[in-house]
Amino acid sequence: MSRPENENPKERHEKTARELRKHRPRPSEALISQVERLGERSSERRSRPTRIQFSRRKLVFALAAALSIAVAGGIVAGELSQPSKMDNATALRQGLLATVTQEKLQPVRKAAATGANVDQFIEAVPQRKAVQSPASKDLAVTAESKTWGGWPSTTESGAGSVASITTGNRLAELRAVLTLKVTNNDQLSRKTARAMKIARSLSGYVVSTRTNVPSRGVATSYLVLKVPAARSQEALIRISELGKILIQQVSLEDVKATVTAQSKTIQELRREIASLEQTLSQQTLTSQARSQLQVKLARDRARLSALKNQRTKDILRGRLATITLTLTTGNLPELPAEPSRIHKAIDRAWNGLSSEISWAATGLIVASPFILLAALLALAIRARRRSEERRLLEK
Amino acid sequence: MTVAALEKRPDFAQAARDHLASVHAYVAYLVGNRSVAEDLTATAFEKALRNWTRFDPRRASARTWLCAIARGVALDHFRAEDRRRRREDAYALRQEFEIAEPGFGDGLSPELESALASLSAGEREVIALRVLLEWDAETVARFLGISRSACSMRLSRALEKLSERVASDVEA
Repeated sequence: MSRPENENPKERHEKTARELRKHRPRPSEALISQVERLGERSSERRSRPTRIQFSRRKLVFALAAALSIAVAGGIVAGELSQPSKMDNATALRQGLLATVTQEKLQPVRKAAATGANVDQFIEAVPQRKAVQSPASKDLAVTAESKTWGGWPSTTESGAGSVASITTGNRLAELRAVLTLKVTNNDQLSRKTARAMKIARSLSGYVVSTRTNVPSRGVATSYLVLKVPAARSQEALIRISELGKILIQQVSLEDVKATVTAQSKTIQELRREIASLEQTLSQQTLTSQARSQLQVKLARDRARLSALKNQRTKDILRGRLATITLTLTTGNLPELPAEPSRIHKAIDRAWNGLSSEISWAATGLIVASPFILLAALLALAIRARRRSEERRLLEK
Repeated sequence: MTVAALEKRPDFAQAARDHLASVHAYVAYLVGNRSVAEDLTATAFEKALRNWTRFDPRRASARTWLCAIARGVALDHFRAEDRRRRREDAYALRQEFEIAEPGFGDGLSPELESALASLSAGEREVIALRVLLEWDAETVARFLGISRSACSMRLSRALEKLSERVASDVEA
C-alpha cells in the first residue's frame, strides 16, 4: 500500500478502512457449524420457562404481595389499636363518658323514680350514643362507681334538668362538674352569688370562687362548693336551675368499703394494744422483752392514730359532695361531625401504615451506613475493573 | 420483562446466524489471533446461549449484546494471558507464540497485517467496531463506556497510526 504525498488524512483513513472491510475476517466452517449446533440446542430449550421471565415475574409478584401484606398489616394494626367496642353499660361501669340526650334520659328518670338499680339505667342508655365529648343540649354523665346505691325518687327540674345520682345509704364520694350558660354579665354575677347562697343554705360552704368578666367577650365564673352528701341531689337540682346546662359530669366513688376495712383494722389494733398493755403490766417480764413489747406498742399506737385520721378523712369525703360549677356567658365550641366508618377505617389503616413506614425508615437509617459502604465498595471494584480492562487493552 | 418484549426477542439460533461474522471479526481484531478468536467466539456464543434469557431487546440490539459478551470473554482471555506471562516471567520461561497465525482477515497486505498487530487491543477494538461492524460513534461510545469525542479521537489516532505504520513498512 503506497502513500501518495498529496493524500489528505481523511482520504487515507477512508482508504485503509475500505481495505480492512474488504478483507474482513470470516469465521471458519468449524466455528459456523459449532454455533449452529448451539442454535439447535437453544431450540430444544425454548419451550422451558425462561429464567429472566420467571425471576422478573417473581419480583413483580413479590412486590405486589409485600405491598398487600403491608396494607393489610396496616389495617389490622390500626384495627387492633382502636379501643374495643363496648356497650354503654360497660363504658359506664368502667367510668368512660357517656352522653345521652334529654329525651333518651326520660325512661331513665322514670326507672330511677321507681327505685330501679343502675343496671336498668344502663340498659336504657341508647347503644350508639356513646361519645367522648359533651355536646350542647346533651347531658353528660360520668360514673366512676365501684358500688352503686339505689336510685331515690327525683323531681323534674324544668330547664335545669340534672342527672339523679345519690349514694343512698352507702358512704360514697360524689363529685359533680357543672357548666351552665347564663344570658349576660349581670346574670353571671347574680347567679354566682345565688350558687354560693344555695351551698350555704344546704349547710355547705364555698371552697373557692373566681370570676372573670372582661369588658368584651365571654365572662366566666368558677366555683367549688361543698355540700353534705345527703343533700347533694337537692343542691345539684337547684344549682342546675341557674342556667342552661352545657356540661354536666357526675362521678361517684364508693368509700364505704374502705372505711369498713379501716374500722376492722382499727378494732384489731385496739385489741392488740390492749393485749400488749396487759402483758406489760406483768412483773415477770425480762427487761429485754419489756423493751421489745414497748417498741411494738408504740408502733401500734402510731399506726392506730394514722388509721383513725385516714378514716375520718374518708368519712368526710363521703359526707361532703364536691360541686365544681362554671357559669359562662359563652357557648361550647362546635364539635366536628363524627367521621364515617369508611373514614375511620382509612384513618386506622393510614395509622398502621404510618407506623410501618416509620419502622422501615428506622431500618433504613440504621442500615444506611452499611448501604453506603457497600455502594462505595461496588464503585471501587468497578473502577478497579475498568482500569484493569484499560491496561489489558492498551497492550 | 413484559410479554411484548419477550415476543420481540429474536430466536437465539437466528441471532447467532445473523451476527456470527460480526462477532468473530470483532474478537479477531481484539485478540489479533485467528485460532484464539475462533475459540473465544465459540465460548462467547456458548455463554450467550446460557444467558439468552437475560437478553432484553429494549436495552440493546442482539449484535451489541453478543459483542458485549464476546468482549467479556476476550478480557477474561487477556487476564489469563497476563497471569500466564507474569508466571513465565517469574520463571524465565516465556514463550513467544503470539501472532503465530495472523488473524486480521484473508487477503490483507502483510504491511497492514503487521501494522494492525502493532496496535494495542483497544485501538484495534475501536477500528473493528467503527470500521468493520460500522457502528455509529454513539453506540460505540456507549459500548466502551467512554464519551463520544473520546471514541472519535481514539479511532482517528488508531487509523493515523495504522496508516503511518503501513507507510513506513512500505518505505522500508
